[in-house]
This record gives sequence, C-alpha cells and structure tokens, in this order.
Amino acid sequence: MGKYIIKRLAMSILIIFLVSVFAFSLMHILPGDPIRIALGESVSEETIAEYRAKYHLDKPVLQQYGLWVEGILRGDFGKSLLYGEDVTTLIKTKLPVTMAIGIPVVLISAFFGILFGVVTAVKRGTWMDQLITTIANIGIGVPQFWIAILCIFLFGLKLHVLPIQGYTAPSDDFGKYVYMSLLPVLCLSFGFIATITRQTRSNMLEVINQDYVRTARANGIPERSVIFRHALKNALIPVITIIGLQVRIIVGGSVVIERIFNIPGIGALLIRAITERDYFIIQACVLVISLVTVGCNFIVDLLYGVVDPRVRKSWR
Amino acid sequence: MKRKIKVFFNRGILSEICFAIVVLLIFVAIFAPLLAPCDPNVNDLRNVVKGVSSEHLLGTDYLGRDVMSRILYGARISLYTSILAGAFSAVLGILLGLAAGYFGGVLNQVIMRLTDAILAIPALIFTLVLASALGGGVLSIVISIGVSLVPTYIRMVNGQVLSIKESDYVTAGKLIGLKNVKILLRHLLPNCFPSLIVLFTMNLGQGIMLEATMSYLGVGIAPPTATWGAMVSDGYSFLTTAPLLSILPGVCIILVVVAFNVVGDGLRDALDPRLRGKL
Repeated sequence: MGKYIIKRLAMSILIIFLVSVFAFSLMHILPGDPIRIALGESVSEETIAEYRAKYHLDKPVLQQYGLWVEGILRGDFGKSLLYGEDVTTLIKTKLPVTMAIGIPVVLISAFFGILFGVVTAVKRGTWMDQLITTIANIGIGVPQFWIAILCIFLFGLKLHVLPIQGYTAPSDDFGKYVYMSLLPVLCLSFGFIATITRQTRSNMLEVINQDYVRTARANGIPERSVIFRHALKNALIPVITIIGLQVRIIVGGSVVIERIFNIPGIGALLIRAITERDYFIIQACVLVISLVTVGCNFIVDLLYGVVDPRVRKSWR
Repeated sequence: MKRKIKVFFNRGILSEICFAIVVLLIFVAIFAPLLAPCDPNVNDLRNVVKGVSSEHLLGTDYLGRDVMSRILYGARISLYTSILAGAFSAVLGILLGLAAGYFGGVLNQVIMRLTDAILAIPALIFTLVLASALGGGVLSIVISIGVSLVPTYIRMVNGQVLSIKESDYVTAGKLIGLKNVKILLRHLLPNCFPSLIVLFTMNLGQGIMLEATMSYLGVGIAPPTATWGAMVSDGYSFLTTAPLLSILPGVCIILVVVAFNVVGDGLRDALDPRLRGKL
C-alpha cells in the first residue's frame, strides 16, 4: 500500500509541475510585454524597465521560472502587477472563502444526489422516478449563471426571503454565514446533484439485479438493509470517482457564482486578474486551484482502497 | 443502418423533441439573416427595454436592439464556435490519442501526463485563462475551448487503440509491411468512429455551455456581437422590470445543451450500446 501511495504522490507532483509550466508560460505565449499590456501604452520606458527588473522579467526565461518556483516553495507567490499587493496574502484570504462555499456544495450534492439516485432506482418507472430523472437530465444542461439569476429573481427580488449578494465568514457569525451562503450553495449544488443522481441511479439499477442482492432478499433481510447495506455499498464505488471529479468543476463553477453573488473568493480574484491582465495573480490562482483538485483526486484514489477491498488488494 | 435509426428514435418522445431542437438550431444558425426581423446590432435608444410588441416579438434590450433577432444570431455564434472548437479538439485529440496508444512507451507517458495536467485545471478556468492569454476574439475562444476538450478525445482513442492494437488483423498488417500511418488511419481509427461521433455530439453541448459562460463573464466574444451568455448578463440589470431579457437566452442555452446530450445518448445506444456508462 505504501508503494502505491508513493507512486500516486509522485504522479501528483509531476502533474503539478506540468501545471506550473503552463501557468508560467501564459505570460510568454503572447508576443509583447506583459508589463506594457498591464500598465497601458502611456507609461514611460523608464517605468517599464523598472518594473521589468522588479519582477525579474529582464532575466532569461528559465531563470525566471526557477525564481518563481523558488519563491512559491518559500510560500511567496510574488506581487500583483497592478496594485503591488502580496499575492500570497491575497490567496490566503480568498481561498477559505471559496472553500466555505465549496465544501457544503460537495456535501449537499453528495447527500441529495445519492439519495435521489437510490430513490429513483428503487422506484423505477413510477412518477417519482420520471420526475426526478427528467429534472436531473435538464439539470446537467443548466448554466450555473442562469440558475443563479433565476434564484436571485425568485428568492431575492420577488419573495424577498434571501439576500442576493455578499458574504460573511463562518468564524465571524455562523448564523449569518448560513443565511448569506444559502443561495450560492444551492445554485452551485443544483447541477452536481443532477450528475450524482444520474450516476447513482444507473449504478444502483445495475447492482440491484445481481444474484447476491436476490440472495440477500431470499434470506429474509429487510428491504431497507438490502438497499443500503448491500446494494448501495457497491453502487457507490463509481459515484466516489464522480464526486472526486466534481470537485474540479465546483472550483470552476465558483468563478461564476462568486462573481454573481459578489463573494470575495479565489474565483472572483481570478476573474479580476484576467480582466486586468494581472499575470502574477493568474499564475498563482491557476496553481493553487490545481493543487486543490489534484489533492482531492489523490484523496479519492485512497478512498477507493478504503471502500473497495479489491482495490486495496491490487495495491499490494 | 435501418436498425440503428430505429433504436435512435425509439427512445421516447424526449429523444424526438431533442433531435428536433438540434435540427432547428442548425436551421436557425444557417438562415439567421433571413429569419431575423431586424439587424441584431442596430441600437434604437428611443425604444429601450420595451416589452412584447408587433414590431419586436420578444421586446428590445437596454440599447433598443431587437431581442428576437439577437437570439437568432446568438444561435449562430453558439453553434459556430462549438463546432469549430469540437473539430479542433477532435483532430488534435484523435492524432495524439492514436499516437499515444499505438506507439506506447515514453510517448504515451508524455501525452497522458499532459492530458492529466490539463484535466487538473477546471475546464472553465482553463478556457478563461488561455483565451485571455491568446488575446480574446473568436479564434482564441475556439482554440481555448478546443484545447480544454482535447483530453476527452485523447483518453477515449488511447483506450480503444490499446484494446485493439494486439488484434490479429493489426499484427497481420504489420507483417505484410503496412506503414504505421496506414495501420493507424485505415485500420485502427475506423474502430473508434462510433464513440467519436457520440463524444463529438456531447462535446458540442459542453462547448456551447463554456462559450456562454465565458460570454456571460465578459471574457468571451466581444460586444456588440449577439451571444446568449452576454444577453443573460446584459439583462441582469433589468431583472425586476424585464426578467425575460435574462431568462429567455438562458432557456435557449439549456434547450440546446440538453438536446445535444440526449441526442448523444441516443447515438450511443444506436451505434454502440456497450459504451453505456462510459460516455
């Protein structure tokens, strides 16, 4: 098992290295000077030269990359091109905000997605199955920004029951955090509940017809126990992969949701940096976001072994 | 062939509706200039945010532009960018997937690890960042959406090639001295066609969604070009007075994305039912 974990860890580090090369080369893809693009045409040559030296852009490309990585390993992502803000501090303040929205989304989508998946599979062919499956089919095609706007229109502007923008940290006031985050979390969860429902339903349908489930029923085990203890346990294995992959999409979706609900997270920071072409922030955001997704995939791989003894065996 | 068409259309009313939506989208995209009642980019500042009227069937937006015409032209942009991005990613992904699967070894490792690296960055963030680095505009949007979709093709083609490259007919081809390129393109690639058609259809929906989201965030195709994403965004300020401005283009996006997904499902069942659960 130790060998497998080390191999998987090495692979994750390699992926992060490749992402870092991509993030770094973003600034060098376009011909032209990133400093000039960021500061505008009216800035004097001296200022540009001064900035180039300050950000090591006057050095050879490989050396620039080396300095950048060295800084990151020391926990220093550099400074914002436009405002001179410390990028590490920015990330440190924004990342917890994105996580405070993202973690409930993962939990809520997993819970409801699995629940709806089981219900639709068990009640296959009934009106409940048809209703939930149709909503789930539509749910995967609904753009996050549109569902957010619809919710703002309905709950914020028509019914006046939920706030339409803003954010409070859970550590400041937990009650207010729940109240403020309810709408963004629900909007972000909608599509994922749909995806997980579909996946759980099709896995459950496959498992439910297998011999061991029939045997369990024949042995007089209560139906609830057959579904949850015997069938669901096996149906969940592919669902875990889907949930792992969803983390990546949830982080992506946070860009949209944070923008609409005016939440000061890493997604909103990234959009600001992209529109202002502040490359050092873009690089840092891309790297940190992929660290989160690669980390999650690593954990999911290990979870596989926990839930499936066959996988654990293959690690040896 | 007849059986396949039968399977495709025998999946219920939803399948048929979705197929009709796709056909309608293609029709509207091609004939938008003939169907649109007005020029989608002509401002009429005396008639801003007006409701439904005989002159403007779906009303006007904040610059007095005809919403109906903008939705029709928006269909054109959506389909155009997603088809181009889809074709770009398919060609690149097929070539890389074939090479990775067939030649194996170091080449396989390099291509597959690059694929993992692209997949480590959320697709939306990848396209946003790459499009902005490439300088915006339709071409950079097409390339960035295309590159973000490439991993799906590489993984699929690589998997299929790995499973069939040890087949007797491939070995026989090698023995009679066929060139690698010929084995790849004439003998291995056709085996991937059913899955490729399904993946391409589903990716069209994904491409439309990415383009709409980018336009919504203001990083997509520049105004005043009519795009559904930008229309939702423009209408947001008038949510209390004219909610349809935002809601209608959103409904178009949903219909089209769901339609492509369902048609993709139908094609999968008709062309290769074994792919169920994989695509």
